[in-house]
Amino acid sequence: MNDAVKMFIVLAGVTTTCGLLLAGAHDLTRERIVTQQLRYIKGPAIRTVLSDATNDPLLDRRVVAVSGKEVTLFFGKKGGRVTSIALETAAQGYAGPVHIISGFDPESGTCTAIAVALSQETPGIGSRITGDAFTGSFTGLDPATAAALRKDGGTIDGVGGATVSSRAVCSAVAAAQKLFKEIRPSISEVERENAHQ
Amino acid sequence: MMDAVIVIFSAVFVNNILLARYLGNCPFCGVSKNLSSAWGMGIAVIFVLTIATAATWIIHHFILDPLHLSYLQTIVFILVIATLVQLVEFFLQKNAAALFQSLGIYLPLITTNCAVLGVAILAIKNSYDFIMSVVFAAASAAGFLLALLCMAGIRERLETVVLPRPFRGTAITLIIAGIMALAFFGFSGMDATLSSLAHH
Amino acid sequence: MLINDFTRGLWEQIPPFRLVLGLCPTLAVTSTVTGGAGMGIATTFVLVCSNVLISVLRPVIHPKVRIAVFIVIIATFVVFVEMATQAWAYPVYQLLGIFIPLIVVNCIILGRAEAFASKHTVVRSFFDGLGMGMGFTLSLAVIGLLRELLGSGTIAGRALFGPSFLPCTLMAKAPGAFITIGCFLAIMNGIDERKRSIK
Repeated sequence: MNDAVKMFIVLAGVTTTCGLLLAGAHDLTRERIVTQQLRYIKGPAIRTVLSDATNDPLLDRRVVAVSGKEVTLFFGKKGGRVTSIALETAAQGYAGPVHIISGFDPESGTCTAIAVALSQETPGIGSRITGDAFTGSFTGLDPATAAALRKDGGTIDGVGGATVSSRAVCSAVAAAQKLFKEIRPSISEVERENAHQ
Repeated sequence: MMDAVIVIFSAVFVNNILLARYLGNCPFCGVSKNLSSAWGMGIAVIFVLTIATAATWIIHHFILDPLHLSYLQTIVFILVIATLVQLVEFFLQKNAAALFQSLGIYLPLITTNCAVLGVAILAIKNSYDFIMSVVFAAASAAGFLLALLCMAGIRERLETVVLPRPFRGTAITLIIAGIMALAFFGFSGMDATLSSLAHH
Repeated sequence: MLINDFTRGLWEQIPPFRLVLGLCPTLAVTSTVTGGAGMGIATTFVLVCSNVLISVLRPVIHPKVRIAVFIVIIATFVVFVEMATQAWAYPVYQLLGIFIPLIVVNCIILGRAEAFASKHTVVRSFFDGLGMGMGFTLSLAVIGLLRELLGSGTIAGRALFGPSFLPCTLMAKAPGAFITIGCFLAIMNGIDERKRSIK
């Protein structure tokens, strides 16, 4: 056989085999990797938001499609009943995107709690948005009032000296409120599916 | 514009690829014996690193990402870099004989220079856009050249110094690198300060 | 002979000191003993697997494309490690970060493929890879132990000294990495010299 052809066959064979093996390995580990990433990166924030849940919300997650986008919902349950549903949104902060987990009551749509999942805000200034004093002020926000700072005509008191970061949190929560409104009709469906399992 | 300046400053001084990110240390110890080879290696790295980062950025954003194949990133990037180094070698040999004469011997070494793969992965990880990735790559390579030249200058003078035998060669190079890293520590945090000044 | 293949990597040519290859991961991940040992184990896995597979494929690998084939094989195992650490040991993945994909350019692995596995039998290549990998793991763990002890006053995250202990933070940072490894190298050179002069 021609030398060049042989060379090509060996190279192509090795590459194809390796590619196929990796595709298989990827399929086997994909689910677990997604769960692990959630657990270690966003897990703490999700658990804070769904603090009274007795299940593991990371495993009780559903992906739903809303106006062409995929949104992952985390279900917090207590005694078999869904008490709160959390989802993630992001908004541009001072030093990059600020990722927020917001929890909502499935019945009323009221915001139950929020937590910062990921932010690179300046330590000591913008990073104060993670404090309970600030995040707690979103609890009980009803679905009719979009989250906004008082100086923007809303109801939330921003963190002093960190307007940009506080505003980012508000717009992320407002986006979550809007998203949740769109998702709510399909949630009852998801819940019923859950009940069957 | 200001963002680019901050990225450049950060890549050259604050997060110097050799002294703070620990990438590309094999050539750092290997070809820092004299200034002329340090120049050759440094220029070759600037050249390859910039082209490789541009190529891998395009491949990631137009092939791997749309096809949900980003798990193949490592294997695809290293193959692209290896191929690219060969192409650059052929191209220089044909079209720029003088340049090839001075850079030629350093090019094959660059494939296994972890700085190239490292910067390509970092550019994706930091989610820079195309222009920013190229700026980041060129600046990182310039930081490599800077540190390599400093080291070569020091080692040339070290030739005339009597050293305890066990410390000769790589051992003293690493210890000097440690002292250089200590000096570069003085820059730490300056990129954050710059970026907060720029945004106010 | 097999014993020889195995022990060569543990002392005679222990990487990264005698075989000065793979310096980047050695510098980068040894600020803690966990990081050092984790990187060592990951590298050992890739080294053993690639050595064995390359040795098996030795008769069919065309000499002209051998480097390309070696790189594809090594990169495949590296991606396996990347997936496995993400799925089952996420904290280790976060600790080692970008240095897991960079195992692919660790010169020790390509060096052993070229210098040993492509010329010797499967069994010998296995022991060579295991020996070299364990030597590398040992070196990294020892450096990590020293740097963690001095740099943060802990071992594998557990505090050893009382709260009055002031750690030398420098040891956990870049300057400490370079200086520690430089000193280790000098010590190894010194031991060699002593041996030679006795002979």
